[in-house]
Amino acid sequence: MPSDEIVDHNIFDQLLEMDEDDEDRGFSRDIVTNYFEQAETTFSSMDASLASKDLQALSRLGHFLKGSSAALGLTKVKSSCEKMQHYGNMKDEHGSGSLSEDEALKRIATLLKQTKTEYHEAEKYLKEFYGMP
Amino acid sequence: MGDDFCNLFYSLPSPYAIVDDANEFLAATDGFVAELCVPREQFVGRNLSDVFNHEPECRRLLEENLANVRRTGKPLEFGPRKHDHVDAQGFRTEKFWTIRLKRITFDGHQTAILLGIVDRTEHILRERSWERNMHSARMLQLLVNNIRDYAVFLLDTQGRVATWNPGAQRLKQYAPEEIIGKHFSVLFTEEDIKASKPELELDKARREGMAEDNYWRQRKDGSRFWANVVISAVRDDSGELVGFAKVTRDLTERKVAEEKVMAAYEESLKVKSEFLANMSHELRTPMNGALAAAALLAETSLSEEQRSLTQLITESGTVLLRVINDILDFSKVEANQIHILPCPFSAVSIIDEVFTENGSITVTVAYTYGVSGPVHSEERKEEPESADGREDSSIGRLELNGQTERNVHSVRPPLAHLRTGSLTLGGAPARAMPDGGQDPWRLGELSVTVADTGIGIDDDMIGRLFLPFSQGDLSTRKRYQGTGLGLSISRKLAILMGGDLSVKSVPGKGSTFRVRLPFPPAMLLSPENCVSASHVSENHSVVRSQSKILIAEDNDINQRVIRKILSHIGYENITIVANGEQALWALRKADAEEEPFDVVLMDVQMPVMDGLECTTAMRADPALSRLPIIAMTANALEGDRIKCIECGMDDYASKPIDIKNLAQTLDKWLVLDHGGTARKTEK
Repeated sequence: MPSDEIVDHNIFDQLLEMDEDDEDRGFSRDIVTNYFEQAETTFSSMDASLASKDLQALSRLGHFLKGSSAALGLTKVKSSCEKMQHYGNMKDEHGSGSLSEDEALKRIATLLKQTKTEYHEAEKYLKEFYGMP
Repeated sequence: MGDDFCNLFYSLPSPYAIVDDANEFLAATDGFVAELCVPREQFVGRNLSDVFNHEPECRRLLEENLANVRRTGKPLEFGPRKHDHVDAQGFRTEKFWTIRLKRITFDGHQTAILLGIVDRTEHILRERSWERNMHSARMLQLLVNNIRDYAVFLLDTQGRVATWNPGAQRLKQYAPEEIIGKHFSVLFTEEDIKASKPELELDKARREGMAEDNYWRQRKDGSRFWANVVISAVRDDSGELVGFAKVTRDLTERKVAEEKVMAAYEESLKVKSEFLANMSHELRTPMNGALAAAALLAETSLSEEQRSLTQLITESGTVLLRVINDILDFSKVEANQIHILPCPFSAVSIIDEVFTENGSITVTVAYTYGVSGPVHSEERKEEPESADGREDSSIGRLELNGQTERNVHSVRPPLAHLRTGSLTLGGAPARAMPDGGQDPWRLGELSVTVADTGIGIDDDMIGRLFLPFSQGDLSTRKRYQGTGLGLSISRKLAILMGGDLSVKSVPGKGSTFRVRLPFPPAMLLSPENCVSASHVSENHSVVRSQSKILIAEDNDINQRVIRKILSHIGYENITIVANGEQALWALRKADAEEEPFDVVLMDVQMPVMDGLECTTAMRADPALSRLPIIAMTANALEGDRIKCIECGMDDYASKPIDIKNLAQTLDKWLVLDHGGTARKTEK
């Protein structure tokens, strides 16, 4: 898969510009590591909220991870998180219409799996980029 | 033959005649007379060859077959044959006859032939039309089956698929046996089914006879294609609905091609404008150099001839520079590189300045704030002197905020074309809102009218006035100076500022140009708060290093990214909080310590207290009511932005943060706008 589909380079390169040392990439490397932790934690919370059918929490978590995914330019994860935010509000993926609670939970269950896959793709790409283990 | 028998024979309705051995008509029934449409006396007693004289082929066949019957003694029948029939009224039609011949004997020994006509016309015609129908049905079937690029099929009245052509199979991947009998909604996408599109489509076709639409269709494997779909109601001869015909065309390729063309077109426009902008810069720099050198040269001791030549260099150079400037401005407007920023300025002094520069013209100016008509210049000192104008940050000027004549396009063109006559400048009262509401941009309207008594402009030329690179009268353009860009630029700038520029003209009498701009009264009325060009050139980095920024953002990663971006731009004095409640607390604390913030960057959705609530609370607090708030929102939807502005935020920066945009937005509120500084000095 071309990296463009995983990472929006307009945004990601902007982060790289902030690195004082091009070799070390201290700032962006730190941010990315930080993001991995945040994403893992958020996914656990999402799993728990899905189990307890807490749609509000799922919407909030979707919004939360959307923000940082967007900041790193992880386009796919970002747009999936946005969908989760909408589903959590019992709306369709564009934020309009209305879904039943069951339908919303059903869609989130599928979406969450997909989001994790997209995240792992991004994680793999970024780890390779930074030469992380 | 006895008379009775003869009479009986004559009156028979079936078409029979008796022909003797010499082919002469002996007798004929009424039916025969009617069939032949020739009065009995015109053929009875006459030879067959005379009667059928006009139809040689018919005559030949008759004679031949009659001879045959005579020779063999066996009855025979021939035809059906076409016979050119002329009826009693003289109308010519086609008839098809089968002719039967039978040898008869009468009066014991005499022989003759009974000739009977069987009219087969109706039968033949029916057969022919059936053949034609069969043929056309066969051709139709061939046609439908050979169309591979169109799906052509029929639905029954309930919308179930009734026929399926190879085109449909190719486009939609269903084999006939898989789809026939199924409801046609399987061809729609899930969203369209939810939106009841299949039903709506049938309904429209039923009511209006036809429905056409372009949308995504779904193939058997779930993939989609962009299609043009026409559905027509099919009715039988009595008007009863028997089903629907559907024709679907795959437009995916065309759509992709269209998008490519559009993208290329937009790209080429952009490239053109960028090129113009770059070229203008490249041209301006050496031109300014040349002019400066000419000015220095004029300072030295020169002979009369040298002085006159230097003067010529300066004058030509000035004209050329003006042309270049026009092109630069035009390309910036075209490339959408002009940003309009509100800032206070004095309209009266600017208008005054412009007109003073253009000679001793009596200026009449009026303000629209509560003034109901033109006011003379002597009286205007009493009027409010400032308006909250909108300034173009990129080139540091506003239409009416120009420091030099070249900056006031809306005023210059009529001056350039003014040959004789006078010029007046007037104002009009503010337009009231229809609902009496308080639209801030409509609270005041500045209207500047410039009228000349020059040569005027023809009606059909007026429309072209606003097109770039054109002037009123092309045939006599040598009479006018300029690039023809002035009005086009002025109008675009006026529109960018929310107003408009219009013209009316009477050829031979003169023209009137009017600029209307919506300006609210300025917040800051003291003259020192008016922005002039020198303020704009203030050193950005100084302002940046002094500005104090509060960021409200709950995501720690975003907090770190934005802190880094801000320090990259040059802002170091940054405080970050995680929600609206903490933001309020930090803002109030800073205010109490007399170290207030200059701007707040506010995330919209945050836990505890979101950005909208926080803004509402800030606007209700007199100490924080005028602090600039910039929303940071990932939803680029216009509705969300409006929500932010409505609840009291001043601006927005889209997320993910773009360094250049954020820097520009902050400059707008911290460097260019003196609201922040003014707010501090007010305390």
